[in-house]
Amino acid sequence: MTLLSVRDLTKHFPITGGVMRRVIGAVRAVDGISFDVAQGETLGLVGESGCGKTTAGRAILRLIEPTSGEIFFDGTDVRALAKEPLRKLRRKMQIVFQDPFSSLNPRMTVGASVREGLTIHKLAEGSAADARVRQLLEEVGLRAEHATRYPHEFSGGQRQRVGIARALAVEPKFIVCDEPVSALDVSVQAQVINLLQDLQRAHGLAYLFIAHDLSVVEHIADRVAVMYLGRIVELARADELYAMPLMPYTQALLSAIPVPDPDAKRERIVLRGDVPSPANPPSGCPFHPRCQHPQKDAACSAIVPPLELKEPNHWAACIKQLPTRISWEEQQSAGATRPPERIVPVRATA
Amino acid sequence: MLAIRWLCAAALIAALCAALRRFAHGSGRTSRARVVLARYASHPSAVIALVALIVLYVVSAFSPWLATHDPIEILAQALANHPPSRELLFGTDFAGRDVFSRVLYGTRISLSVALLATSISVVLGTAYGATAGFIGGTLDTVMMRLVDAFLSIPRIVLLIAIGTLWAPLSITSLILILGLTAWFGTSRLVRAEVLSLKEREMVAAARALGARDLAIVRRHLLPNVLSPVIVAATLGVAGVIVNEAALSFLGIGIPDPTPSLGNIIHDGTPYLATAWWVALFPGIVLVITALACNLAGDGLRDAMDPRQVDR
Repeated sequence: MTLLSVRDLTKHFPITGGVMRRVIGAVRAVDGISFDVAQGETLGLVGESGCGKTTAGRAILRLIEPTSGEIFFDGTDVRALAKEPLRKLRRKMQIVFQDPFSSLNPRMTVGASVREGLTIHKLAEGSAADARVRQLLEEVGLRAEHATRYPHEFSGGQRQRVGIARALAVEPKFIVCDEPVSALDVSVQAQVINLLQDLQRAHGLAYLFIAHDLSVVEHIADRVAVMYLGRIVELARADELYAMPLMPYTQALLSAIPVPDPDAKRERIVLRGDVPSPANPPSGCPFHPRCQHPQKDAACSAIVPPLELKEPNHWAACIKQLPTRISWEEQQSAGATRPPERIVPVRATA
Repeated sequence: MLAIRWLCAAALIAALCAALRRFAHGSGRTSRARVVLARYASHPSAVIALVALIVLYVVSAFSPWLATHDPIEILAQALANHPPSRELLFGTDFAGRDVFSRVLYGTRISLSVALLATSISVVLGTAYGATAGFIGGTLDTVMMRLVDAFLSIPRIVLLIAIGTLWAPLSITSLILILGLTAWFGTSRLVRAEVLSLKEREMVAAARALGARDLAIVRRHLLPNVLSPVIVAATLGVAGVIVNEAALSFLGIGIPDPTPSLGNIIHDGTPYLATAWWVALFPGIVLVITALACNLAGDGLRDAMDPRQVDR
C-alpha cells in the first residue's frame, strides 16, 4: 500500500543580485521528481553531493517549503496543510540527520531530547514519559541510565542512536534517513544500519534512505532512485538496478564501487569533469556533457529524456537506451546521428 | 571589633572558593559546567579577578556592618578634609564626612546600579536580538538598522543629554536609563548567534518533531546563546559602573548626599592638591572593580569558548 506519494516535486532557490535584490535566476536543487514509498518499504535515494537529495528529503517533510509539486502522505495532501495540522501530521513523518553533532542540542540531556516529542504531542507525561524514554533508549541499543547524560559524552554512533530514538518517540510511520551513516566509521555504519533494519521490521516503518554510498544502499533498500542534478534518472528494484543499470550515470556510479578482490577484472567508467551547476544546468539530458554512452550525439543535448519504463518496474531516463518513446525519426530531427542501442556493462563481482 | 568583622568576611570568601574548587574538580563524569569551571580556574588573572569581585560584593553587601561611621553624617565642621588616620581610615571630605564609610556605601550603590542596569540591558538585548535573528527578513533589517542608529551615538553623550533633560534623576530612573542605553551590543551578539544556531540540524529536528516557534527559541536557541551573553554581561557591568561614575562625576548621576564611587570622586577633585585621599580611594576601588569585571569576563569567554567545549 502506498504511504507516501510525491509528484513533480520541485525546489528552486532564487538567486538575487543587484542593489534591489532582484531575482536573476534560480538554483534548481530539486527539479520535478516523482516517486512512491509503500508502507514498510525502504526507498534508497542516491546521488553525488549537491544533486538535491537532501533538499528533496526536507522538502517532503516541508522543513524546506517546496516550490511546486504534490506530496500525499497517508491520503493527506501535505502541501495544502496549514501550520497547525502540519504540526500534528509531523508525528507520522520523522527525520534522522547526517551530522550526529549538530543534530542534538548540546544543552539538553539525551533523555530530554528524546522526551521532547512526547511532550509536544502529549503522548506521555511524568513517570510514564520517563519510562518511555528509558524503553526507547534501550530499543536503540543504549542504556536507560544514559538519559541523564549530555551529547558530548557520547560517540558519533551513540549520538546517531539518540537521534533515531528521538525520531522513534512519536511513533512515526515514515522516516527520512538523511545520510544517517555517512559521518560514521565503517564498523559503526553496519551497526546503525542493522539497527534501522531491526526497527523497520518491529514497527513496520517506511524509510526514504538518502545516501551517496551505493554499497550502503544496496544492503538496506528495496528500491533505489538515482538522482542527478535535481532529477531522478533511474528508479528500479535494488537487485535489478545493481544487476542491470540502464542509465549511463548509474553505470558509472556502480563501476566506482570498490571490489574486495585485487584480481577481479573490472572495467571502470571514469566520469570526466564536475557536476554542472544546478543554477545553469545543461540543455537536454543533464548528464550529456559527461556521458560515456557510445551512441551519444547531438540529440542528447536537445531532448530532455523522460523517465520511462525500460523493463518491468525499471525506469530510466535515457533516449539512447532501448526501448524509448522518443522515436528515431524524432531524434534525427533533433540532430541525432547514432541510433539508440542497449548498452549494459558487465559488473565485476568478487 | 573591626578586625573580627573583616576576618569573618575573609573566612566566608575562603569557604566559597573552596566550594567552587571542589565542584570544579569533583569526581564522576564531566558535566559542561565542570569543564568550564576547570578551564576558568586555569587562568590566574581571571581567578584573582573573580576573588576581587566576590570580596567587593561581600564587603559592599555588609557595608552597614563594616562601616566605621555614618556615610552622610557630617562628623564636625573642624574635621573637614582631615587626612587618613587610625580613626578615620580614608580621612574625611570637604564637608567632614568619613570617606571610608562613604566608599563602602558608594561601592554598594554603584554595584547595585550596575547589576540592575545590566540585567535590564541583557534581558532587552537578548529578546530583541533573538526576535530579529529568528524571524529574519525585513523585520530583521529594520530592527538592526535601528540598533545601528543608536550605536552611532556615543553612549556617554546620550546619557548626558538624557541626564540633563530629566535632572535631577532618582536612582531608579538612573538604573533605567543606564539599562535602556546598554543593550544594543547584546542584541547584535544574540542576533548573530541565533542566525547561526537556527541553521543547525537540531532546530530542523525540533521542527520536524512539531515544536512551535516559541518552544524552539526557548528550548534550543536561548540556552545556546547563554555563554556569550554571560560574557557580554560581565563586561557590561564594568561599562555601566564607569558610565555611572562618569555621570555622577559630572553631577547628573546619583544625587548628593547619597554616596556613589562617582560622586565621591567628584567631591574630592577640587581638593586634589590638598586632600588627595578623598578622590584617590574611591578611584582605586573604581579601577579595581572595572578591571576585575573585564578580566573575569575575558576569563569566562575563554572558558566557555564553544570551539573547545562542544565537541
